[in-house]
Amino acid sequence: MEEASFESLPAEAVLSIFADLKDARSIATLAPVCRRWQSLSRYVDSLHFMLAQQSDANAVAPMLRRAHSIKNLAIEIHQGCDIPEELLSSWIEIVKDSIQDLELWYVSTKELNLWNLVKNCSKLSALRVHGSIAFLLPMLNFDLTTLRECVLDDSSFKHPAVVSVLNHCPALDKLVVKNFQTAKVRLTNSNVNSVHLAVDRREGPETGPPFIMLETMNLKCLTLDGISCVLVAPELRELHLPSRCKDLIVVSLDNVEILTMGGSEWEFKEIHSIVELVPNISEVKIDVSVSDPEPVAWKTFFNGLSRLDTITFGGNMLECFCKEIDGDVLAKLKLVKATVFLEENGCFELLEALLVHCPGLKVLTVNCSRLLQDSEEWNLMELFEARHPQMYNDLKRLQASSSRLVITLQ
Amino acid sequence: MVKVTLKSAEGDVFEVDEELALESLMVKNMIEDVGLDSAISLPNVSSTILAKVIEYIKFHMDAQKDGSKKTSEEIKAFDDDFVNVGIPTLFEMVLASNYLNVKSLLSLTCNTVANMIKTKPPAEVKEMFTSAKQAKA
Repeated sequence: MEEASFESLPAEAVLSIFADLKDARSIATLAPVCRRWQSLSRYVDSLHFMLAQQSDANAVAPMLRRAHSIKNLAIEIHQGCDIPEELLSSWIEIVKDSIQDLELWYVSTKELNLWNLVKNCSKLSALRVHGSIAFLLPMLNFDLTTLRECVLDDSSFKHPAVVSVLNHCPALDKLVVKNFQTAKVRLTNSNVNSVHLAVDRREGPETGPPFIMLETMNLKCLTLDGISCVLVAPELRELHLPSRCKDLIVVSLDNVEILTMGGSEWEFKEIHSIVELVPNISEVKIDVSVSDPEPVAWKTFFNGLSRLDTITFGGNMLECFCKEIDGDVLAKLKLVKATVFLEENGCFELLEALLVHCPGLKVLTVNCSRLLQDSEEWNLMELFEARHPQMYNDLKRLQASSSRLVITLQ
Repeated sequence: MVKVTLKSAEGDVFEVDEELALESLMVKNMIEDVGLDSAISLPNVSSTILAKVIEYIKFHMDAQKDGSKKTSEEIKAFDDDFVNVGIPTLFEMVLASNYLNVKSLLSLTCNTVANMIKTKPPAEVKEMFTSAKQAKA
């Protein structure tokens, strides 16, 4: 058999190899010597450039011209590689009629007008920008009618720009803005399906947490990370709060079915007041650390939540429910996962009640770390046994009777 | 367990479990068309390469089974070692996995070629792709 060579590889393999070549320099090296590539280049629809050095930039334009129907383009511009806006703009101009998905990693101290870059891209459906761009995104002052997904990640954006994205992208389905930097802002868009806003944690606290007003008639899924909000979203189905949300003022959240909360520094009453906002919830995940756990009866907390069937408890939230354990209420809830922190005075009543009354509970974690505070012993289990023999034996007995119980000491 | 007989370019016969053979979409189609009675002839795949492809599929099938204790590191180590071969062999494996239609192996071998191009100095890359032309000339 003739020896296999690159020239003998099938088209699918060559295109796959080129898709894996993520730096412009190697593509540039290869292009002139590889006849296969020259003949196949017009079938290439995705390119990913990694520009580490200034000279790498020379390869981009010829490559884009050769593969003239690029749908997906990703350009990673590394630090130390200075790509002026005009150059970047000229590259995108080459693919403007075919590009659907543009992703940029851009580290620059210079201003970049993102909207000018994509102005003429008539099919652009997704735009994702990462990197630390020291620019303030200008207002979008024309319509990007085809844009469905806009991710502005790790850049500093002032609020008018974000508002303009919502107002000028009628087809927008998903908006993700991280490091959101703003005081008061009102966002309105009737079409957007999913919004994710995260606070800029790099800034000092002097500006205070951002406060927004969000009015979106079709919004289904909202994530607010460290942002206080006045919310008008009658169709909202999912609400995610990955960190403490101090203020959430709503008109109606009657359709919300899924609620998740995470992070630390929550106050108990904040959690309770959010749970009270969502009467028709069916699934709740509360994975938070409460700064002031206060005893509350299950009945009071979950009062009126008739559809609730799946609860996941993490953090120290369960501590609040150590009192007045009501088996009937527990039996109605489909607890999936729960963590109990074991204290000196024990929480056995709760542990036993959970195991007895919640048949759906898959994992019950007992965290004993608080009993062993400041310990640097490597064998924590032995230490636990030595210091709290009674508790240790009770727990072991409980564990022997149920495979669902997991004991953790960390 | 039903066995399938595969015949390499040299005419060597490999008997494998049907489950393993079906991982190759090309063989799967052949079995659907002509059944299991006769050996499936693979004139484009040499014995050496066919043995390697079978080894690859077997390892990954075992790794995916329930109760397999293989960690992702072990799987990665196997893959790395598997493609640590000379360039002609690597190209032959690309050809074979494309012909046999084994997607995971095709992407592994293509990715390896791409990594070679990336890490080698330009002169060597040029040589790698022109050697075949020179050999013909």
